[in-house]
Amino acid sequence: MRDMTPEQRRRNRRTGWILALFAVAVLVWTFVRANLYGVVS
Amino acid sequence: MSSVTVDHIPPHAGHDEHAHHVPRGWRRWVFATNHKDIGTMYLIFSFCMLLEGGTLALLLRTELFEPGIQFFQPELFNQFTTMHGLIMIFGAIMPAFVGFANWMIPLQIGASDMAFARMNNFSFWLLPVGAILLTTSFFVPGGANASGWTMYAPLSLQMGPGMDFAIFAVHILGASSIMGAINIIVTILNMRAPGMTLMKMPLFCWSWLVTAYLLLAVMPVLAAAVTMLLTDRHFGTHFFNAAGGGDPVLYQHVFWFFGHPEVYIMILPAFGMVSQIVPTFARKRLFGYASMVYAICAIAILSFLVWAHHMFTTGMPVTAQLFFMYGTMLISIPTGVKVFNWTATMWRGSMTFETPMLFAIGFIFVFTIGGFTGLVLAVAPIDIQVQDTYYVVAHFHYVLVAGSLFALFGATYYWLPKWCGRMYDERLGKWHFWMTMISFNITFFPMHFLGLAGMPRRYADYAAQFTDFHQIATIGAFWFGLSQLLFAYIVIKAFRGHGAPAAANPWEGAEGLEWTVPSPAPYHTFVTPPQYEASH
Repeated sequence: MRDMTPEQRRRNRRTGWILALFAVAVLVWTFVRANLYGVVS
Repeated sequence: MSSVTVDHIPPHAGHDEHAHHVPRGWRRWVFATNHKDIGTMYLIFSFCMLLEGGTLALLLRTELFEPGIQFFQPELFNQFTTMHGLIMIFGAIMPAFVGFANWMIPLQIGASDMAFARMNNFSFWLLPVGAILLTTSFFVPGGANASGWTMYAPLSLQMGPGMDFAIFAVHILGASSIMGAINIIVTILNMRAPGMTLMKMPLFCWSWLVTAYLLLAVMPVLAAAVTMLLTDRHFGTHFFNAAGGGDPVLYQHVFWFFGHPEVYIMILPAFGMVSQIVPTFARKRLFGYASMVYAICAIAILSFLVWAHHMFTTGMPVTAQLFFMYGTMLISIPTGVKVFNWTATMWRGSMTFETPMLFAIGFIFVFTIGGFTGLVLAVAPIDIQVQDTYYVVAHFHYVLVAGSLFALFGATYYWLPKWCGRMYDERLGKWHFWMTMISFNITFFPMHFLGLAGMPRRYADYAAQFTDFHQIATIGAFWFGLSQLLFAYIVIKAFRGHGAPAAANPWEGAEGLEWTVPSPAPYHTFVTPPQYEASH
């Protein structure tokens, strides 16, 4: 594989983290919404 | 790809075989970071799972050959139906598309590899763990998960430890999908060759970009749903337990908010593949490239708005029924745009009918039948009559087998020369297509009649009047299964070096960066990014 430039690595990492945070947010949101209906005793 | 051509790229310019050494032995595969190696592993894994899921299907069809209980008790039969669904969806179809993404996206956009090569390795190696969990769950007390692939509460709350195995497997396979999706999005957004704007990208890449966003948006929802199942089962919560104040219907809503986009996750990459194959063998540019892109996006957006059409019999206000009914029907518009554009691409083209084209045309015909039965099912009053019957089974197999699987076969034949440097056996390929096409229809077309006559799905036994159609379906299923062994033989034969050597571009009408590198594609490609220029 061609070695990526530090700038490209940074850009990839930043985009990757944004997407990962989005996935985590969806996960958390689903729990929060479900708590409004289902009950955690 | 229709509106662009590649200029100023001399043949073989995109690779440098001597830039890095090629790892040897088991380390090459266990520690693989090369997108081609990982793509190959995904494809081999998915084919193994296809065989496992297919074997389960044949066991089901064996039991259903005659009314009455012949071989398997209903409890085991339900485990087979559940695991068939889970293995085919999460083990076979999805990983197969990711395998194609790994192999072809970097080659198509002129990138040297995927953006996160080590995460790519991790994404793959999670899959066998999930597969082992699913497979070994047959041997735990109470057997495997038997609640159907949808794992509806409260049934799933009452199952044995096999259910926990399934939940962990879904977690693991879901995590793999999310990481794969992140990798694909970052690769496409950040690593395209200079000059390749988004609207010049091959449609396979476009379809995967949208699919990856869908995956990212809905796999966490599934993960949350099954986590709530797990905490309800073992940690005293009552999300879905009515006795504790929870609501089982909530599970259905959460599950189908994942489940319906999941259907498009399994078909959008297939659309992309067909959009590559049809122009090549029609020797014309794809008709309506931009409208194809917008149609993919429209289908993806609408897929989030129609989940409750799976729940018409669960009960909901009439207004909601109407919303979900009309919303579902709307999806037929962008889908129709795609079918129209493929047909228009073929119109007055210099068509030839090599195996990839046969599968692509077969896809268009048979997937459209599945689309039409989907429209029938979208009509709430009809859906209420045929809910959970074989009509639904016929519908989604027309979409997922004739849709996803046919496209996967077509794309395998299309890109196989690029992977192994040999042409496959065209005569056997055509045999494979016709046997698959005929046996598929023998298997699944009678299921429409069974469903309309009232045969419920997931039943091990049935009334005698359904016998004839069930026997036809079983004969077709065995024929279909055996036909896939021919596919394995054709692919293995090509990989073992039998067949004519393939040129860099073995197809007269193919366009795109992947055809500018030699066949087989060198271990490292596009070490120096190519300059991609549109002719228009």
